[in-house]
Amino acid sequence: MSKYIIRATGVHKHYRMGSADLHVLKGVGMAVKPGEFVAITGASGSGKSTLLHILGALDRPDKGSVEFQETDITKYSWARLNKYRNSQVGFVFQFYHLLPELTVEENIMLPAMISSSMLGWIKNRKTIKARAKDLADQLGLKERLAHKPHQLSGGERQRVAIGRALMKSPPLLLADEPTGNLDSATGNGILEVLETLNRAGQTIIMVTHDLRIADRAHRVIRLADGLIGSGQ
Amino acid sequence: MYKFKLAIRYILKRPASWLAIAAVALCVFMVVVVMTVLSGLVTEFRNKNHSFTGDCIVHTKSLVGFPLYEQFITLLEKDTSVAATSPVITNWALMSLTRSDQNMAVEIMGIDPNRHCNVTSWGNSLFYHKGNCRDAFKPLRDPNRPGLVIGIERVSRRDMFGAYPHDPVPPDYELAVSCFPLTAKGTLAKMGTDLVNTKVFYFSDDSHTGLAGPDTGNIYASLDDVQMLCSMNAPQKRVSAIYIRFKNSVNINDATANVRKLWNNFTAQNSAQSELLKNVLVQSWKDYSREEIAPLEKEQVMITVLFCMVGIITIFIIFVIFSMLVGSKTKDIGILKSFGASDIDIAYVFLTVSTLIGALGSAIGASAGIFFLRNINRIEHYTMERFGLALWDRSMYSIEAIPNQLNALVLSIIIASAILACVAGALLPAMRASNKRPVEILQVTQI
Ligand SMILES: Nc1ncnc2c1ncn2[C@@H]1O[C@H](COP(=O)(O)OP(=O)(O)OP(=O)(O)O)[C@@H](O)[C@H]1O
Ligand SMILES: [Mg+2]
Repeated sequence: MSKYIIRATGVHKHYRMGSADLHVLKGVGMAVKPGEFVAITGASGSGKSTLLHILGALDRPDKGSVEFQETDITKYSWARLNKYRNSQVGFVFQFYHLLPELTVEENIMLPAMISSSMLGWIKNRKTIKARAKDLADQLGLKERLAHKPHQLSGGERQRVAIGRALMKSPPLLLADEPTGNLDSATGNGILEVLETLNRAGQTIIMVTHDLRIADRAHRVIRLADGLIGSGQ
Repeated sequence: MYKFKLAIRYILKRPASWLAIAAVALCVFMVVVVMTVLSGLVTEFRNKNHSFTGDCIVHTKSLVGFPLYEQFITLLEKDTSVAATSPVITNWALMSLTRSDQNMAVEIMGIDPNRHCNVTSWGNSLFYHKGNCRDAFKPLRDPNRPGLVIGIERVSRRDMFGAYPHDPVPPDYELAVSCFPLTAKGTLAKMGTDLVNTKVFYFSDDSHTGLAGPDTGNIYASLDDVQMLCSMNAPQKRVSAIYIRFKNSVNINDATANVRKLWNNFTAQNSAQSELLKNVLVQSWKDYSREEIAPLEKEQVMITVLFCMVGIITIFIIFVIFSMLVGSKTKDIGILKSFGASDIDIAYVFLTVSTLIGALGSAIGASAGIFFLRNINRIEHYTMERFGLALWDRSMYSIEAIPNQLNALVLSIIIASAILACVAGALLPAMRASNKRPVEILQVTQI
């Protein structure tokens, strides 16, 4: 059993906009243990999303390493990276990012569908569907499996997105402002879902700029000036 | 799995996909119809030439002809590849109705119907003697009179549907035919006397071969009569050609080469007897009719090239539509990649869409094309009756019905090329889609 589930060390990230160089992350280091519920906060533009994308392998750091269960994901081959995105981490976006042509059930099953071959799908279809149904039940989406995303409210869409992120039971759940686009009551509902998951043992890293929301996490990491703030 | 599912959803939900299917269907429809009709015309024309000539022809272009043909025929008939032979005279003549002083230049063919009908299907071109080729030159009114068969265009006119009307009883024409006999050296044989040989014939039948040349310009009489008219019966009997039919199993080109060898040996042995043997050519029916068939085949090639351009246009249409589709689906691409879809998976989704569009479009287009072709003659009949509009000029192609025999090979080539064109058109946009980086897309679409 590794001590940390994920650990970033000396992570740098630049964005080049023409001649201007935007140094967003200037050597960020952080580590999260299994079962933790960590919030990343910071001002708008401080690089929270950038950091989370790097942790989720949606982006590469310019410098530094990200170790997931003690292997450096920045050195992964593209095939292994796809596998990492598919089943090691689950990503929840602020703007849900569901596929409009697929039903709720299909959206939840998406990671399983992506990783199954045609034959594998035919063989495991029943188990996969049962898992999706189970998740939908947990997330209060029982009656909505056959609906399309445009027929759902924002809160429901975010719950579908959480279901999708959990589909393959990834060790790590990454959520980028999961409540940012919702009113406070609905946002609270989503937070409760996350807290329940965490109590069941799910490791969660959540980005938020709302300090009251951050308070509900075990630990808060503050990003400022491209570095992790003091006192963490 | 999701790739297929997504591909189908993209097709069903996007009006652009329907547009692409319609474009493919239209192109396939057009190509299927025109290629079928055109290749049908060419095939029909070739077949008509083939059945008019037999498989192989030993002939001279000289109006004097060549002698010793019966000896050569005896030799030919000993050959295992030869099924039947027929000596033929082709020459120029003047024909006139005896009751009028008008005359017209015609090409006269002298044939022995007993032999000729074993070599060619000329017998089927007759109307009153259909199935009774042997008696072609025995007029129904009085079989003892010398009969003359006349190319149909000289006797009858097509009605608006391309058919030739016939009286149930053959007309009673008396026709004088004159030829200009030549000596073996090619000079007029009867200088200072009558110059021409004339014989009176009676109309016995018309011949409708479907070939414009013979149908407008030919008359046919018995070999003996024509030999006499052209003075090719003395001192040695001469003819202009020997038509040969081979046995079904033999390869025409090989058998023709064999006949050519026989002929060369034959001339080597008999060259002392006649200089005329040297002017003789041995050709397969294809080479013999090359001049007639070539322009039509050229036309076919040209239209095929034109349709390759239609294919390029299809590729372009698909390219534009797919660029649009990929553009509208970048967010989906980002999402799929965030959950572990590989570049290949993404390309696969869009290529599946294009393959399905190609398959669906060509299925619709081909079905519509087959349906249209099945009914093309009915449709043309209707437009001619209603508006006097013929789709095909009958005088050019000399056909009754528009050919609509589908060629399975051509059809499958068209369908395969349509699908290929779709894949080709989608290839670039699909590759562009697969190369997108997830964060970039998802960040941009947040704005
Ligand atoms: N692809 C990009 N190209 C150029 N600049 C970028 C890009 N992505 C992010 N940035 C810049 O990097 C900085 C950090 O962006 P990031 O999205 O990580 O901030 P954030 O902390 O998540 O902000 P917010 O709270 O508003 O979501 C911003 O100034 C942003 O403009
Ligand atoms: Mg952000």
